[in-house]
Amino acid sequence: MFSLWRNHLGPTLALIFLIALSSYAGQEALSRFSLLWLQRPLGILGTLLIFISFLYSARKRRWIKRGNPKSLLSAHETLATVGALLIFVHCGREFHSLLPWLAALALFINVISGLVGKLLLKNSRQALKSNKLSYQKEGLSQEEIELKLFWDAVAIQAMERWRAFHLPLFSILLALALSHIGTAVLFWFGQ
Amino acid sequence: MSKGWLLFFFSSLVCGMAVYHYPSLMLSPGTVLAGHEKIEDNCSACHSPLHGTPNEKCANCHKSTDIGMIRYLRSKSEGSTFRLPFHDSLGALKCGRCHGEHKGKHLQPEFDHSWLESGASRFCEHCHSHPPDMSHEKINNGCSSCHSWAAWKPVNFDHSQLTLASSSTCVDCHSAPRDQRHSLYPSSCKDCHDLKHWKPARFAHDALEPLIHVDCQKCHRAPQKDFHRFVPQLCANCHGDRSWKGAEFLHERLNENQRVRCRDCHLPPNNNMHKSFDSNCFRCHGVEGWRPSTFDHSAYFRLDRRHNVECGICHTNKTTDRYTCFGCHQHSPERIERIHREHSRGNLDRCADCHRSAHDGEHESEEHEGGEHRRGSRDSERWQRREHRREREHRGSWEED
Repeated sequence: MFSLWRNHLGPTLALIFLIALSSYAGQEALSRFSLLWLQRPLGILGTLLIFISFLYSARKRRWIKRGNPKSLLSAHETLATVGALLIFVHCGREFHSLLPWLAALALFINVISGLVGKLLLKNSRQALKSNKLSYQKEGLSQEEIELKLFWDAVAIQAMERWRAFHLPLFSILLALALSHIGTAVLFWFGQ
Repeated sequence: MSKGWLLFFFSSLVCGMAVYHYPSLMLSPGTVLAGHEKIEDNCSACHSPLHGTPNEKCANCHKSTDIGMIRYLRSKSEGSTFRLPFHDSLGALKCGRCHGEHKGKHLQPEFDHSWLESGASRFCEHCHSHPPDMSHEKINNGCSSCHSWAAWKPVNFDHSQLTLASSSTCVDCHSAPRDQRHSLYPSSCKDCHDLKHWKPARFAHDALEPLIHVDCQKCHRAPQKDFHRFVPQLCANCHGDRSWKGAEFLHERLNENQRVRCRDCHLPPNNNMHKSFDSNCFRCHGVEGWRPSTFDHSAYFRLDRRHNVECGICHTNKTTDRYTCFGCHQHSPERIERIHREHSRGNLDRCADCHRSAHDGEHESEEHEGGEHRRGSRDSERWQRREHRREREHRGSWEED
């Protein structure tokens, strides 16, 4: 039980807390140094980073053929986290319209969901290390073995269940985010 | 179509409906200005998609001829000079540039002259009234020659902008000072002040009329402290006309009565030597200075022969009102008492009452303070002869030996 906290839940909760704290610090810095005009550019930058992180999703679905899935997953995790952080700073602390805050809430839930997915993937890969021996007996190269283990880990049942939960969350986030971006562009553009 | 896409489209539909029915709740970034509450849910009343907030949208409600009319009518009734066509000068400037929105009910407009078209910014009087005061009547170089765009004050005025005739009549723009000092000096301000600042003024007493020149208290307050209370009021006796300091004071200018009252101005010396003297400083000091003192010890006792010694040898208790001759050479109390046995019935400690010097033949007779006896010149001569005789006898006994 202690091992589970130390190796998995602890770091995940710490990361969530760190994101929340960084968002607050970023908002405070913008306010204190009269840089509130940066909120909008930060939102755009964060959105772009998150969209770039979806290269991994495209590679996983084989919409694109090139790119190391493992590297792309790592990039997905990093870019999505940083992008989310920038968007949280973009949100500010003034609550007026509902739509942007719903989008921000959906993003936060997605970030937590993503971190849970990362946790599950790590566990699955550890469980599947026993298959490594059989792959070695089959005479596969080290690189092929690593790739097979990765896809096996992705394909196990726990991950499938998580994906069934994560994707709908993302669909809602996408709808809210695009609605917010669309209306903002409509009213902001041409000012 | 996957479930994910279906959920996406469904969520988008819900968002769209919510935005359509509750636009203010879903999208408004802040409270609208007072008066705009009625159109708060009608975004298109002010916004055009992808075109921001065009002036035409504002003009749908705010006719350009009506803008400022309420304020104009109110100020006109109050006698103000507010001018109406301010907004006409703004050209293509967007209303939203000054009039912010979604930032509170009572948000004040923000205006910066740099937003004006270059031509409009030069014509201040299109928006601002020309001030009716005399100082502005004389200047026609444009407001910006003295005022900045940010605020009317501080003013950066240069007198060189005035014509020669205008610049010589200062009171056209400046209020003439009403204090007595200036009333005595009716000449041009320029005689004392320069064109940059009032202070420091360069004032010359020579320019005053002669009668005023000697009546300093017309302008200056008479000093009430220190010795000024006792001196005549003609300041020029001691002070020059350039500065109060460096005054030249002469005691001769005091009247007789004032001149002997040294302590009116001077503090009495706080030392033992002066304690025994009265307040008449002139007994020892002159008006030229405290030093050198004119005190003459010979009036009491001449310091001749071996008596020219440190004061403390005779004045042993650090005061000059007491002294003792005992304590050196032959003046022992027993011997003095033996010598004076015949005629002395008084105080033998007050030697200087009779002996005014060390010289043997010089004795003066004075009345003892106690009034015990008076020794005349005859007694003195007798005493002198006896002393001579005793000395010869004493010398003869030495020669016989």
